[in-house]
Amino acid sequence: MPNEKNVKFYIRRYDPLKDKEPYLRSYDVPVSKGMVVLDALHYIRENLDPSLAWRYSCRMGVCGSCGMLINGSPTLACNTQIFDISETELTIAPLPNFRIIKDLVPELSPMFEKHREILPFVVREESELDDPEGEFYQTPEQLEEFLQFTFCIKCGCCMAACPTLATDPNYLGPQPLAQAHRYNKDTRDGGRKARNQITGSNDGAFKCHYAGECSRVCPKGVDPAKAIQIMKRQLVFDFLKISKSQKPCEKLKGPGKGEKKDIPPAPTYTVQE
Amino acid sequence: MKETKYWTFHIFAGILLLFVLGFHFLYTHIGELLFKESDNISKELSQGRDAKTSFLVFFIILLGLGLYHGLYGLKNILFEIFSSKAVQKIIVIFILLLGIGLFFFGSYSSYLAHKNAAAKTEVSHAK
Repeated sequence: MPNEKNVKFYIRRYDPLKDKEPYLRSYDVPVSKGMVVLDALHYIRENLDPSLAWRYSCRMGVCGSCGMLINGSPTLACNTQIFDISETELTIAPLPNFRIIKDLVPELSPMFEKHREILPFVVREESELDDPEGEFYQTPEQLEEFLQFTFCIKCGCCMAACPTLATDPNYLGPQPLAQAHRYNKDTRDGGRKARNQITGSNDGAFKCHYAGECSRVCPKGVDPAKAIQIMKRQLVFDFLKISKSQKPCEKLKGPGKGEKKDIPPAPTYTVQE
Repeated sequence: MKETKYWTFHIFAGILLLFVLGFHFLYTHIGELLFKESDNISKELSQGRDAKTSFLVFFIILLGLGLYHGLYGLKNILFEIFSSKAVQKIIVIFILLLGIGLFFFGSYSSYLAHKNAAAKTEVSHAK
């Protein structure tokens, strides 16, 4: 592995106010071991072209702002080591399946609107608002059912990789559907019926072709394709009324007031005083 | 949720088609090779099958399942090509009319074939 090497970056540029269509522009960037694509973009803006636009925030794969198409694969610029991909040249473009605001900045609003549609929150009875005391009991096994889907950072990489969304912009897409599944599987939630109206609609889960690209590109290891397939089965079972009814769990109302759980006795001392 | 209903029927139609179409192929086309029986697709044997009411019902079921499964798939493909809601409405109406039309045409044809075959069988029995 060389210490420092010149890597040619081909970046798709586009300013809707000036350009008729996107074009590629190349930049030579000195890359050293450990540099991620985001570092190279900073180098370009600070030293070569201050007009380059992209979106970023946390620099550590948490915020999901810097999703872009790097060498044909949607991923996070802050999470991608340059030398892991290439030592000679790299092509960077904005996430496909989204309108381009400028250069590498996609318009993610359609994804967030679809995400909002699927009620991405724990739905409970309104009457509980009058009595906010207590807590929900959830076993580790119940948590495991949906835990991986909570890791979604809404970067849009799955939406960019989805071939169905590429041809049909009405399709909800893997991100909102996976999140719908995440809340449907939450034992504290009581909103599956309401969500089924959206996920089981014409533009919902049944449009998924199971290409699996969404799961392959997810930088957080979430598996939206799996979520959608489970959701399809769940929708059919709900329609046939043969699914296990998933009533939201009861609240525990503090010591002595809620349901008592068997607490295993503490282990015996191993060290004698 | 409406789509869930159509999708469920689509899946069930697909599963039933496996059996119905399987029986059709086994009986009419492959049975000859497997069981070394006589020529099952000969005109006489075809007419003999057509004369039976059970086969008439079987053909109509096969037609209905095949049309529903196939046209629902076609609708989904067309919906991905044309995302405009107005066009999608036209597609649904077109496919619905096409499906109903083909179903009645096919059913009526089967009924006529059944009627003719039954009449011919009666004549041959009378002779």
